[in-house]
Amino acid sequence: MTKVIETEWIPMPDGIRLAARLWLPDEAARSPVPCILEYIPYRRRDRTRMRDESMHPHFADAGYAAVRVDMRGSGDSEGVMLDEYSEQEMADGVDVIAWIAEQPWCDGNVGMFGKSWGAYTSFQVAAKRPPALKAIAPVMGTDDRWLEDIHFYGGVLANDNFWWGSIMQLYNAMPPDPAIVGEDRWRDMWKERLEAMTFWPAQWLEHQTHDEMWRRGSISENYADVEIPVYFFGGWADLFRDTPFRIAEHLKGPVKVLMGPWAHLYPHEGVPGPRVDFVSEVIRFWDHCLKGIDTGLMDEPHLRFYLQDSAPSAGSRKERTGVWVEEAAWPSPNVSIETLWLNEGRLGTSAEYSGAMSVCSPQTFGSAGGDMCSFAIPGDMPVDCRVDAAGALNFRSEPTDVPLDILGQPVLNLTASTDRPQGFIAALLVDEAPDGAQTLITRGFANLAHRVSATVPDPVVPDAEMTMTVPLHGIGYRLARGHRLVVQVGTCYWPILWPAPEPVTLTVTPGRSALALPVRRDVADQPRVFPEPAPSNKKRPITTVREGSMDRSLHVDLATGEHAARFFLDGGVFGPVGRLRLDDTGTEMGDVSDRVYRIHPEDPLSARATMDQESRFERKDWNVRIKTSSEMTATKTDFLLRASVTCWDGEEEFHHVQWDHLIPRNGM
Amino acid sequence: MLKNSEIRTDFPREIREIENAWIPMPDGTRLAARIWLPVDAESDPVPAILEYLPYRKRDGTVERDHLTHPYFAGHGYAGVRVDMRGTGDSEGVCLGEYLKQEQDDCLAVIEWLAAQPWCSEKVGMIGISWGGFNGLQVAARRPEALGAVISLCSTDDRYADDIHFMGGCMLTDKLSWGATAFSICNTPPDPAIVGDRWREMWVERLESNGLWMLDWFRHQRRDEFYAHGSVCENYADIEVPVYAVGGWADGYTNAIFRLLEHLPGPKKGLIGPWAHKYPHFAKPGPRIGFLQECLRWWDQHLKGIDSGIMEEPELRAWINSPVAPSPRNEDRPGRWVAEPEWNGGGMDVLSLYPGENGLTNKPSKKTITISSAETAGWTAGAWCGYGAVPDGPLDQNGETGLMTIFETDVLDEEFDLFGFPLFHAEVASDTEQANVSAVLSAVGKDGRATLVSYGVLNLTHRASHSRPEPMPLTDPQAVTIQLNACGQRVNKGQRLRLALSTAYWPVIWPACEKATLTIKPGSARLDLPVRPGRDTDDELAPFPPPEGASPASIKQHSRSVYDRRRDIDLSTGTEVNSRRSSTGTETHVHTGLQVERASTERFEIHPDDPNSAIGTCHWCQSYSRGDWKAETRTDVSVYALRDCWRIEASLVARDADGIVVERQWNEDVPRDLV
Repeated sequence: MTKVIETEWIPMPDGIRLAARLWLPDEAARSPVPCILEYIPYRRRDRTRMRDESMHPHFADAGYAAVRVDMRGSGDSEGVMLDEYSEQEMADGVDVIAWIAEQPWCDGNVGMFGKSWGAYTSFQVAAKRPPALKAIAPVMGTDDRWLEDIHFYGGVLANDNFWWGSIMQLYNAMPPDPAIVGEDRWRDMWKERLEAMTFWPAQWLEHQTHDEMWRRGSISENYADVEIPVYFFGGWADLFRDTPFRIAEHLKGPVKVLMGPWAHLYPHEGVPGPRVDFVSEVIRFWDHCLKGIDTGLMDEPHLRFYLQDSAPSAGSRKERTGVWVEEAAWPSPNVSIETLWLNEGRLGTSAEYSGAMSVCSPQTFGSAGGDMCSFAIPGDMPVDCRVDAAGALNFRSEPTDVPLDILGQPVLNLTASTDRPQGFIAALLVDEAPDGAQTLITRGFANLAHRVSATVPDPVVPDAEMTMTVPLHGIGYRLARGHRLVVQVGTCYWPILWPAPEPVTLTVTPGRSALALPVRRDVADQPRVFPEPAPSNKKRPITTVREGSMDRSLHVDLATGEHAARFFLDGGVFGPVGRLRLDDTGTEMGDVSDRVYRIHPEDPLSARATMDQESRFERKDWNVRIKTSSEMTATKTDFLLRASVTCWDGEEEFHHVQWDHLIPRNGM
Repeated sequence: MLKNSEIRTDFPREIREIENAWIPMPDGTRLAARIWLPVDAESDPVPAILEYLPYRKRDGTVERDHLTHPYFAGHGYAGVRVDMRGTGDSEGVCLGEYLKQEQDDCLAVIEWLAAQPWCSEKVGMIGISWGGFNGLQVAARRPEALGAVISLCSTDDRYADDIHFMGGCMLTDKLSWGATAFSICNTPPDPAIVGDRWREMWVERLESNGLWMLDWFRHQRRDEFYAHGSVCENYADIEVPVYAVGGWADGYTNAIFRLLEHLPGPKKGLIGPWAHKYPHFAKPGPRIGFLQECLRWWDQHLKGIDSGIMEEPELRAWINSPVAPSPRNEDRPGRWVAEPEWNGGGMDVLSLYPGENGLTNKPSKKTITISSAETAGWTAGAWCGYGAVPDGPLDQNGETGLMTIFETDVLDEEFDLFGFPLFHAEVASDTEQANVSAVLSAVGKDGRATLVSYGVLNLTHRASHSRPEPMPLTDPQAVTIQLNACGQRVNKGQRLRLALSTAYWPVIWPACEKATLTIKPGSARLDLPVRPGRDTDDELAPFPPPEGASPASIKQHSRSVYDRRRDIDLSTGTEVNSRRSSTGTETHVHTGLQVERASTERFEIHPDDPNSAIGTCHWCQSYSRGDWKAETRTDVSVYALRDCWRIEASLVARDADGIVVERQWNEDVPRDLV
């Protein structure tokens, strides 16, 4: 029988204590066991409680102590959190591991895992080489915060900087649970957090180049720092699609990769399916690395990718057909680069030197793009690329006469000019079916001011020819026979990217631009069959207090032309789950968020992002409410961010703060 | 509607107004008329100019009436605005559009006018839309006193070019206009004119006028219902001179070309850039001195003065120059051209062929497949634009991915399109009933595409609109789609684009099943009418600037509204196109009436499901003066189900004491190959 400890206090050297939930297997009482750590800021007591229940008890059943820690200043932990991936956070991670290793129930071997923030932290703590840490399993995170975080895509400011920062604005304003930290203390702890709060989207936007802030926490700065085995899990519908290729190439220690079709969800809850029994698979990894059991895992090809079949676009998708393939290493001898030239309207196998091609994309180009990081919330995946096609240059190949397997990171090499000093390229690789329907395969972006250096931006010389590289995100894709490849090239990508200050016309020089496409040769793959997670019949100890709802919609004012994309969720970041009660703690909780991105097709300075959120925690005589609002606009020279947070304890307004930031644009 | 400098207060003859005159009908019913005439008309009788409408002389048309009829009066005519039976302040009931009763009444009105001591026994009829229709219809009845007609934005063919159908496809205007007419025809008379019996008169209307649209939905092919009131059935019935006027942004311009081709008597045609409005205050501009032009027509035909108008070319038209797409244009740049006469021919034909290389001068050897999302067509704008609001077509690039698109190379010469483009093809369908649309646009150097013209065809009507036949599911059938008439300059550096689609929503209702069409290789051809330049174009005298009499004094209490939106639910794919409009609350100073007219229209469809189409129109009309209040609220919905048109309607009329009448209608009308 696993022993569950609701709260264990882990002391940090400075006296601050972090709150942890523990699952200790029976045998830990008799002989110490290895430990699995998940270390994130998303509130073990309530917000991730159900997800934790889907994993940690299974680790305990498999003979591991499982520990779920709230980061400093989050959940029930003491102190304040001043930024993501701070030095303090990494130091705390190292100290938590040291504390675990010293516990009587621990045999001194620790594995660390986590999705998203938890994956970043796994990489970052591993780079600090805590002696007890023997392996990490990052799920959907990155080795490089500049290249592949929610802040910048291809060096171009992402609206996700605003969106995710606004989510954290709400999280950072949440109180600890009085039942854990004490009726007498929770308000003081909450006040301390609230008074330390800053508006992170603005804080991050002070750093618009590849500077020290983004290098902090990026293990890509020195891959040699991570020596222990890594098992990376990711999904093509998720944000982090390049990290698996980079770490497989650069890390010196053993690297396993599993890339499925999933959105930003653990593979055992993965959508689009097929799901994979993540818990069993990662236990094989722990058994190998922490217990020294030969599970055969390391004898299998280390890299496993899902090649997605050609399929019509769908903004919501439950399943994605495809095949699993395996590679022993990356780069792979099975994959070679095929060059497709951007000729006038066509993708050709040889360059043609006629027909200059120009486009000035309407600011609404990108409306079909869904989210960069899908959470498999209905409507958040890309729809038919033809919706936007008129706003881009389009280059179409001949139909393929055999299925074409694409695996890796395509690169678009452009020789071109633009008419404005500031701008960027959005490049889409598209699958066109015989009936004309277009499905996004992958995409990439490049800030032209960063064409030489992302550290020292260099404005474009208008109308001067330049060469530039647009890296497209990694993908595994099987293009069906008879389908065409299409490359779309545009100069904006709203609402995923914040627009350049002026409309940009791009002119591509004929005969000197090409797509480098990683094509995998036809290999007789016979990968091991992965079990799907067993369906659980256990009733989840959770009650729906109010059904959730959502609205993801695009509103076009046909009189003015303004586009407004709305993302409303009664249920917050977890999707339209409404208001829930956790049966074992009695806490009722729910977030409502309403995000709107507006733009006029002809005016990049009309771009406006707003997000309003409300969150409640209630239990008997505990009743907490938090409202946040945030807004981002820009002038030609500056970004303007406004935000506020108001908190109530019962009827009493407990805290109010508002921020106004004016941040000069720097190569954005 | 006019600039101050365009308002005339100083006229050759002094004007008096008869606020309300009762015109007796043979059955004893009396129609209400408002008349402006020269003070001295009894000693120096004048021709009467009749405008005969159901749109309420008391409030509905006052703004334009005040500009127009006193202007006529000041120039030696009696301007006469008559409310039709059962509408406005007139007695009786109104049971539908263009009924024989309406025309019989008009004959009696004309006879009455001719007999008035102030009348010279000559009558002219002028009108736009309904009033343009009945000018032609009454002319075909040949009343003795009727000397000439000016018919604007009207039709000779109620089946082919009205709110009901285009190319045998059913227009959504059948619903939206039907709901508008339903709302208007159930409004009350003004107690200040009719006295205490206003409520009794209103109740009679509310209980009798009914939902005309039910009849319209029951008739889904060219039959007797539409033949009635269509002067194309026998053009020779019309002998009096007819001046047919319209604009490219209007929905009725095709009729002008047919009228000029077929009317046997004296005739003229004028086509501006305008939407569905009189050209002295129409948008898009340029506006013209239309009332001066009317006077030249009336002088010629009602007073026997040779104004020179009949020596001028028979057809004068504006050729639109290329512009960036915009749903509203204050002005459309362009130039006037003229044809000495119009007999349907005289244009060169430029044939273009859609295929794998775009739109070229060689037939394609490949099969073209068309199967569009049901949302294709959303950029079309209103079938019949009103111009002052942003209801025009949008950037046609919005159809990429929805329609099948073919484009020419960049054009290296410029030319004028004038007349009806035709699209020919041999088409096979996998469903028995399917629609096809052909959309012509011009793509600018910046890549944006401006609509030039479009046409739609219900394939079951390929041979006949009166005897539709299901498509055979085997052999391709030869079909021709006539695109709407256009007058468009195409410049060097532009491209022409042909977009083909199986849907054109929300202009037409979808077919009952989702169809895939295949066009036989080599059979698709677009024939464009290219107008040879004429030296005489440069010699055309310019129109004088717009003029009108003093506008009505109207106090606006709340702002007028016009919204047009497209809302897409990205999680389900369902799309809603909607319009919302309101006049705002306004007081007409000369009557003390406070009026507000507000409507919303909503057209919903799922891109994959033609049977998901729902149209809903809501109207509210309110009137008040002091303690007197009257209001109607109407709702009409049409569901385009697979086998029937489901029609649901309701009407609630209230006065200051509460509900006066409440009625509901529900009917499933089986589809008839539409």
